[in-house]
Amino acid sequence: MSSQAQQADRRTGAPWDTGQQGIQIRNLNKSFGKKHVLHDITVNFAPNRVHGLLGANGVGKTTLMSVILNHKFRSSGEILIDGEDPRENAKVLERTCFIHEDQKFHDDDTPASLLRILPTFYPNWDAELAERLAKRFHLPMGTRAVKLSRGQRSALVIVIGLAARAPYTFMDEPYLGLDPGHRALFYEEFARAMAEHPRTVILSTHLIDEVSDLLENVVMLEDGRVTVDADIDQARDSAFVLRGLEPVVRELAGDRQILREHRLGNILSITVDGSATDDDYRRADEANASVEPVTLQELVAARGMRGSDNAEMSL
Amino acid sequence: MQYVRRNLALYLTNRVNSFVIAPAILLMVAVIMIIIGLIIGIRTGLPLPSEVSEGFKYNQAIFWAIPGFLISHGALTANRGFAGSLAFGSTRHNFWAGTALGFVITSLVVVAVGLVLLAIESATGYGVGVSYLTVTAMDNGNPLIVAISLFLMCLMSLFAGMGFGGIYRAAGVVWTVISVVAVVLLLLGLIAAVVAWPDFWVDLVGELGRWTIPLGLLIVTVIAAIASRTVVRFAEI
Repeated sequence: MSSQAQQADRRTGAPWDTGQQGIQIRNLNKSFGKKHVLHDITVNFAPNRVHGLLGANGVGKTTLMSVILNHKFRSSGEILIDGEDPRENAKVLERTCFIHEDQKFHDDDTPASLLRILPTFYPNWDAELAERLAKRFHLPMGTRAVKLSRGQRSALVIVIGLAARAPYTFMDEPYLGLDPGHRALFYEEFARAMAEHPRTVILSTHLIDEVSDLLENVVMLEDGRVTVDADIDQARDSAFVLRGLEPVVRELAGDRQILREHRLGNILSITVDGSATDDDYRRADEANASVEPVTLQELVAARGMRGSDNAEMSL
Repeated sequence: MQYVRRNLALYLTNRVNSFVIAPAILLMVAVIMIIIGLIIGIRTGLPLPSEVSEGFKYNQAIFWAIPGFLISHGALTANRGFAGSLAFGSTRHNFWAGTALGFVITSLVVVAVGLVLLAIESATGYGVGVSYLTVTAMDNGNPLIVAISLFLMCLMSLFAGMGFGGIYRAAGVVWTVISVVAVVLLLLGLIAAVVAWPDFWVDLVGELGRWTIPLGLLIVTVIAAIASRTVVRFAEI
C-alpha cells in the first residue's frame, strides 16, 4: 500500500487509510473508427489528491475518464486502479463514482429515490452530507429526474459525487448548470469533503481559474495527448506572460516558444513556454514591461490554441 | 451476489414501472374485453350465447396486451439505468444480472395478477361470458400454462426491450431501427415458413399440444436474454 494513502482525518484526527495505490495508465490509445481520440497516453494519478483534467473542448477529457472506468473500451494500452485492471472488475469498480453534468438517470428516478438506493452501492455513503447538500442546493427531492432543471441535475450529481465518498471519484464538468452562487457553494463543500475524507478525485473542467485553488495536480490534454502532468505550482511555472509594447516584448521573448499572443491597443501580451528567469524580470523591469505568472486558465487557453503542435512539456 | 443485489435494488427503485403498470394493463384489457362483450350483447343478449362465447376462445388479446409496455420498460432500463449503474461503479455483467433478476420479479407480479384474473374469469366469465385468459392458446385457462406463458411473455418482452435499448445506448437510433427491421424480417420469414410448410407446423403443434406456446416463448425468451446480455456486454456509454 502506498504511504500516500495513509493520512489523518482532518476533522476527527482519526487515522484515515483509503488503501489506495492510485491509477496508472500506460500507452493508452482510443479510437472511434478512424478517429484517434487518445494518443499513447501514459500518466499516473496519485492517490488521495485532487487532479484537474484540463484541456479545450474535444481533446478527450471525458473519453479518458470513460476509458479508465471501462465505460468506453480502450483500443490498446494498460490501466491499473489499485494495481488491478478495472475491466469488469467489480471489486475495483465499486470503489469508483463517475458523475457527469448530463448524467443519464431513469426518467422516473427522483433525487429521493436515488439517495435512498445509493448507500447500497457505496458502503461509505455519507447520508448526513447528502441531506445537508440537498438542502443547501434546494434540491426538489420528489421531482422526477426528467423534470429537473439543468442546475438541479448538476446539484443532484454533486450531492451523489461528494456523499458517495468513493475512493476514486470522477467528476466531468459537474457544475456547468449551476449559477455562480451555487458554484461557490460546491467549491466550499468540495474543499470541506476532501479535507475531511481525502480521496482521489479527477475533475475535468472549463472553469479553470474558479477551481484552481482546489486542485493539487494538473493533467492537461491537447489533441488527445498528455502535455502537462505536474503539481499545480509546477504547472503554473511552466509558462509566463510578458506584457508591454510589442517591440520590447518581442525582444524579451527572443526565440523562445510563444504559446499565445493577445493584443490590446499598443500593448502586447504573450504567453511564453518555460519558466521566467531572474534575468527576464530584470530586463522586463528595465524596459518598462512586465513578467507575470500565467493563470491555469491562460495556460490551458494558450496550449489549447497551439493547434497540432504537441511537443511534450518538460517540467 | 451483493453486486447483483445493488443493481436489483436500482431496478426496483422505479416501483410504478416495475410493479404497477404491467398488471394494470392486464386488468385494463380485461375490462375492455368485458366492454366488448357488453357491446356484442346489445345485439345477442346477455350472457353471450355459446357460439359467441366460443368465438372469444380464439382471441389473442392477452398476447398483445403486455409486450408493448414491457418492451419500452426494458428499453428505458437499458438506456438510462445502464448509464447510472456504471456511473455508480457497477460492472456490465452485474448490471445485466441484477436487472434480469428485477425482470423476473416484474414477471412474477404479472403472473400473480394474471392468476387472480384467471380464477375470476373461470368462475364468472366476468359476468357476460367472455374469454381473455381462458383461451385455446392458453389450454383453455390451464393455470400452469397461463402462469408459464405469462411469465415467459413478460421476460421475453423485457429482455427484447433491454436489447433494443442497449443497441440505442451503444450505437444510436440508426442501428436500433436496423435491428428492429431485422427482427421484423425474421418474423416475416417465420410466417413464410409456416405458409410454405403448413403440414410440418401442424404436426409440430399436434405433438407439442398445450406446451406449444410456452415452448415457443421459452425459445424466444432465451434468445432475447442472450441478445440483451451480449448487447450490454459490448455497449459503451
